[in-house]
Amino acid sequence: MESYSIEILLTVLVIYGLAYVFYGKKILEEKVVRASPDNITPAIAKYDGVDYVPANKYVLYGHHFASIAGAGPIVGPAIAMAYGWLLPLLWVLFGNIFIGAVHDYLSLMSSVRYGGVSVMSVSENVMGRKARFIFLAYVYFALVLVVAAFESVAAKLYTIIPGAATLAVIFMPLALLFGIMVYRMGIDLTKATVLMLILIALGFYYAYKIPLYLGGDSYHWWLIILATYAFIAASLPVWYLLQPRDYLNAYILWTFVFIAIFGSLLVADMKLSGPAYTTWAPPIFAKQPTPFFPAIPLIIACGSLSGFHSVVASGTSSKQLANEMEGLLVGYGGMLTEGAVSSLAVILPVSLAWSAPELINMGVFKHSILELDKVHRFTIGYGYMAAKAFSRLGASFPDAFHVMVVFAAVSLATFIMTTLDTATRLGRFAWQEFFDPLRDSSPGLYKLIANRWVAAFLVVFFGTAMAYPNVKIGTKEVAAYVVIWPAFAGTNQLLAALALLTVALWAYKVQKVRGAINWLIQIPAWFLWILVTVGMGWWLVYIAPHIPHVQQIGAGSIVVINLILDFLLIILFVRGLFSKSE
Amino acid sequence: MSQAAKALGYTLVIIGIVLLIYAFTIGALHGHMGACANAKCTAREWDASAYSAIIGWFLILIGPALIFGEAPEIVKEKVREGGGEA
Repeated sequence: MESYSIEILLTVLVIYGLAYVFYGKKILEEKVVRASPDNITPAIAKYDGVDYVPANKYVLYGHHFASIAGAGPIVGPAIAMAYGWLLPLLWVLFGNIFIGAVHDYLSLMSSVRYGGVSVMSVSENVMGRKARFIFLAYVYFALVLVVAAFESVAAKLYTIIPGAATLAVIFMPLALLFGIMVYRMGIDLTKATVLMLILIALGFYYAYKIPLYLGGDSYHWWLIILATYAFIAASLPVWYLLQPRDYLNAYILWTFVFIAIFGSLLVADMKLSGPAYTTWAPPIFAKQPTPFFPAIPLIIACGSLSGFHSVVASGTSSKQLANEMEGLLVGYGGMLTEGAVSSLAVILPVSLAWSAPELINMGVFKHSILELDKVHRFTIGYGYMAAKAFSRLGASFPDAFHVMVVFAAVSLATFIMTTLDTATRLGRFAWQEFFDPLRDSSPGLYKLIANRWVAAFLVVFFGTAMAYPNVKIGTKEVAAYVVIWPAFAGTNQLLAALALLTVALWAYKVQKVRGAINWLIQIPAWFLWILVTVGMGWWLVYIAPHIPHVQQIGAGSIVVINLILDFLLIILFVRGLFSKSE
Repeated sequence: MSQAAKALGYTLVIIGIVLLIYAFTIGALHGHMGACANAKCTAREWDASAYSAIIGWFLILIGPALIFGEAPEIVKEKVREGGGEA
C-alpha cells in the first residue's frame, strides 16, 4: 500500500481540531470542570513573586508547551519507527485525545481549584493523607529519572551538533534581556518581541556557522554544565528567567512546528519511503525483541501522554494561570500541540527520509534511517523533509538540508533545556512538600531540609549521578539515556495512569460527574494503568538482565520501588472510589 | 536586594558580557569556539574562548538576578487587578 505525506497531515489536523472543540471545550471545560471567569485563581490569590505569579495566557501556553515538550515527543517516536509509521501514529493520536490531553487539562484545573497545589496534594483530598505521601515519593523518583534522561540526551546532542550549544549560550542572555526590557523598562511587548526574534535569527545564523567545542570528553563536560545550569535556573524566580525564556522559546517551537506543517504541505505528493508496518517485535531495548504491546508506553512517552505533564500542570502552570477560561488552551491545547510535534515533525519526516536516495548518496546512511542513533534519526528526518520542501521553492537541497538539521537540533535542545530546569524545579517542589509536616513541629530542621537550594541540589545530584556513567552495549559505548529511557518512560506513563485516575476521582467525587462522561475518563485511565504495569513488569523480567549493573541498580530499583508505590496507590484509589465522603 | 548584592550583580554582568564578546569574537575569527585537537576536528580541546563562553553564560544568568531581586511592579499590578495582594 502506497501512502503520501498529505494523508498523515490531514488526518492529524482534522482529528485534533475535532477533539479540541467537541471533547475539550464541550465536554471537559463545560461539563466536567465547569470553568468560570469569575473564580479567582491561585496566581492572584496566593501571589508571592517567586512561584505564584499570574502570566499572560500566551506566555503561559508557551511555558507549558515548552516544559512538557522535552525530548519525549521526539526521541520516543524516533525509536518507535522500528515498528513502521502506522502503529506509532495510531498510539500518538489515541493517547493524545483520550488520555494525554484529558489528563493534562484536569490536572491543571483540579490543582487550580485546590489553590495551585500539586496533583499529589489533590490525591490527598480524594484518596486520603497516605496517598499524598506515596504519590510524592513516586513523583520525586520519576522526576529524578526525567532529569537523568534529559541531561544525558542534551549532553549527547551538544556533543554531536555543537552549533546547538552555541545557540543555547546566545539564547539565554537574550531571554533575560527580553524580560528586563518588558518588565523593567516598560518597552512594548510587540516591539521587544520583534527585536528579540531578529536577534535570535542572527544568533541562529552565528550558531550555524560557529560551533562551540568543549575539550576532552565533551559529553561529560556538558553533563556537569547542564547540571549546574538546572540547579541555578530551578531556584530563580519564575518571572526572571522561566517566563521570558519560555515566551521566546514558544516562537522557536512554533517555527519548528510551522516548518513541519508547511513542509509536509509542500511535499504533499511525496510517497513515504518508509513502511507502514515492519514487525510486531523488532529488537529495540538492549537488542532484545520488543513487542508493541506492552512496550509502546515505555517507548513513546510525552508524544502520546505523560505523567510528567500532570506535575508541570499542577506545579508551575497552575500557579501562573490568571483566569480559569485560559486553562483549556494551556492544558488541552498544549498536549495536542505536543502530539503534532510527534506526528508531523518526527513520524512523518522519518517516514519520508527512510531510504531516500539523496541521503544514501550523501553517505548519511547505507540502507535505511534506522541505522542512525535515535537523536540523529530525528534531525536527519526533519532536515530532509524541510530541505525537500525548501528545494521546491528554489533553495539548494544540500544547503537547506545542513541548515535544517542544525535547526532541528536547536529546537530539540530548546525543548530539553526548558524541561530540564522545570523538572528540577518540580523536584524541588515535591521534596519541599514531602517535608511539610516538619514545618510546624521542627521549623529549624524544615528550614534546612526544605531550603530551595538544598532541594534543587538533591534532584540534580541524583539525576546527574545516573546520567554520568557511559553504558557498554555489546562492543559499543553509548550515552546513559539509552538504558535510562525505558525506565524513565515507564515510570512516567505509570504516573500518567495514576494522575489520570486521581483527577478522574476528583471529577467523580467533587465535580459529581456521572454516566458516560465519567466512563470516558475512567476507562482509558484503567486501560493505561494495566498496560503500563504489565509493561514495566515485562521490562524488569526481559530487559533489565541485559543492561549494565550500574543502571540495573539505578533505573531498576526505581522501577521496582515505583511499582510497589503504584499498587499502594491503586488500593487507596479503589477505597476512595467507594468511600462516601469528599 | 542589598546594595552589596546589586554591586556584585553589576560586576558579574559586566564581566559576563566581556567574556561572551571575547568568545564570540574569537569564534568568528577561527570558525569555532574551543579548539580542534586534529586536522579533521574529530577531537577537541578547551581553549580561552570555550572557557569564556561557558563562564560568561553563567555570570549573565546569575548577575541580573542579584540586580533585580524584587518582582517587577508590572507583575504586582496584575495581581492587584485580579483582587490579590502584592
